[in-house]
Amino acid sequence: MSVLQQTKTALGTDAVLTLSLDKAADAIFSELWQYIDNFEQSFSRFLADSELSRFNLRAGDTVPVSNEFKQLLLATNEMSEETQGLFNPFILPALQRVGYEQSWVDPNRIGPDFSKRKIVSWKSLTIGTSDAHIPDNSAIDSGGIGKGFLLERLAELLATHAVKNYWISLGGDIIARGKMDGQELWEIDIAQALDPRKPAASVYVPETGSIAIATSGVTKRKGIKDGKNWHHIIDPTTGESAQTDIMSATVCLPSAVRADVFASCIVACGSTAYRTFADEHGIEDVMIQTHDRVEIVGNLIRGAHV
Amino acid sequence: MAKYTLTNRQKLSPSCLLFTLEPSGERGIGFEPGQYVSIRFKRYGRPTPARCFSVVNTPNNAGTLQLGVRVEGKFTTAFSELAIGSELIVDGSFGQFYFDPDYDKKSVLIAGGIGITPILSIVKGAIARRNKNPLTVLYSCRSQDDVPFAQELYDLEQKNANVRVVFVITSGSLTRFPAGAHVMNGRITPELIAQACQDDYENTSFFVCGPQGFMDKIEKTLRANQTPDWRINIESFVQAHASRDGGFGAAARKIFSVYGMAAMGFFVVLSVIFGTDIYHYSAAAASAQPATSQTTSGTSTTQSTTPAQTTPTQTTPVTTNDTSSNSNASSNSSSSNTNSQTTTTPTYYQTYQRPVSSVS
Repeated sequence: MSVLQQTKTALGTDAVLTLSLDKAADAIFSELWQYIDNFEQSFSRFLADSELSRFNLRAGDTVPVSNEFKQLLLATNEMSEETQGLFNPFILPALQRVGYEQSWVDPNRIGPDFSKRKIVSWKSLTIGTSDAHIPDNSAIDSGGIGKGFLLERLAELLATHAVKNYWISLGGDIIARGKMDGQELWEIDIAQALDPRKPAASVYVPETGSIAIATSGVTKRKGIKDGKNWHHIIDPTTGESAQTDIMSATVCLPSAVRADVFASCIVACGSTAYRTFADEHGIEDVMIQTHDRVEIVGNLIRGAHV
Repeated sequence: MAKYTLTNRQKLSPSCLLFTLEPSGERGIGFEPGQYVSIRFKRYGRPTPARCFSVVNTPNNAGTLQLGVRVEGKFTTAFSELAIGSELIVDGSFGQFYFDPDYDKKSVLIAGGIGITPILSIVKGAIARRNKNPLTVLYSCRSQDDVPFAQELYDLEQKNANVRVVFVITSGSLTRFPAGAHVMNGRITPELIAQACQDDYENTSFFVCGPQGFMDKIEKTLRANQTPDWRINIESFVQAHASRDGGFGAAARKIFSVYGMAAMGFFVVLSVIFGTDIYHYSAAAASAQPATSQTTSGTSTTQSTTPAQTTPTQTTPVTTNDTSSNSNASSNSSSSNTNSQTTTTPTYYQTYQRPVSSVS
């Protein structure tokens, strides 16, 4: 059994596929990359002809959607409901207004401008059998859930190939299963918020089942616009970058979608409220980093200095 | 002497780790690319003996040191288990195994296994100083599964016209190397060395680092071709005891620079970087008679300058049809520790990268 790793830029970040297997891997790698590429082409807001952009351009209409898009929208609605709107896909106009207008890795990718549109209630997204609808003058973003959703699809794809030992990272959101070489536990580092080259903690992937680890924060995808600092985690109640003292939050859960969404929600909660949010949503393993401390909850995450 | 903190530990290959040390205080130690340092630390509350390791990175203002280490003895195992954030004492720098652009107008750097560490530092140092002297690296490893710094060397070659890297893999397949890499099966033969220096032994400087048996054969070849003593720079590692285990105090490292001997004499320091029996370079291997060497780049096939006395080079593109853009391949860079890249073509990592969950 050997460990093979491939990497490339995808979804505006570094993607890494790591497979531990005893058979030819090239075809599996190709299939995974193809899936990732297709996903990006379909659901990037920075591509004018993506299905997401075309859907937003037709806001107010009931628009036929692909099955993949429908599944993504269903997951979006589910998470919006579970967080009671703290996760809201309609924050795209606010994201563009604060300053997040173009792709982080390719400034030439901008996508349609929806900055003049409004944030509406998460309940405004309606999904039919093969179509969906959002209100006129609104627009949705897949950024808060897309990587988690994609990680779960990739894991399903690997299951069809009977690959049981792997980890996949999409810009630091990770899904992992099994062991390295079928023997050694995968160990995942959690980076320091201010210096991602250095680990703040680590997680051993449990021997059974898969685990997803998502980290969100305000230390990247940020900037200054009109003299005002912004970051990409939007408070849907204000339409502004969330006021928070948490620099980064890491969540470990079996579901990559939930980990992805909850990590951003915890950042938005701030350090005084995040424990309540975590308790209410069954998040047992979480870590936050503020300017002056690191807090680890649960047994899965181990501090780097322990 | 300076206090350092272990800040990162990264797996380079199944048997090798890359350690990153940052100065605990304001200043670190200075060094020339190719030199080595000694380190010691506390284990179970007691100080370990000092051991020496070549520095992989190039000098920088932060004083960062990166050490490539093969884990195979008590000391290196203890080092590998040292917690991130632990403090170490670093002494140095030492050694005459470094590149002088005024004397070393053209160089062939020959490495066996983890002996690549000082050589990589030399190459990176020359590039950092914008030196354009031709540098040819011949890098021998047992299998493609254990080639520390392969991707970084490949990237250096792609980005610097004066740098050439030839990977010589003793046995097994060569499927994991990036397209365009110069790769061959076999050993570093006299013919390969002749090709690398263009039969000009008098004006070529040779830097050799690897297991003892490996270096003995290289040195024999160089001397058989009347290479001047001062052109031969050998950094060797020898076991003080027969035990390969390399327990604390069991091994010695001999730095032997023919050119540097007049200045520094015979220098012996402790180390356990190599077991002496890792590689076996036989006469039979040295006389392998393959036909020609070719490299493929993208869809074209070009004649390589590697010698005729080798097996045909096999390079394997990554999983898409466009293999020509691999010069942007993500680096396993020891110096940058970054995976950032702009290619849209997936590339294989040559060494295992640990997963890191971070804000993205």
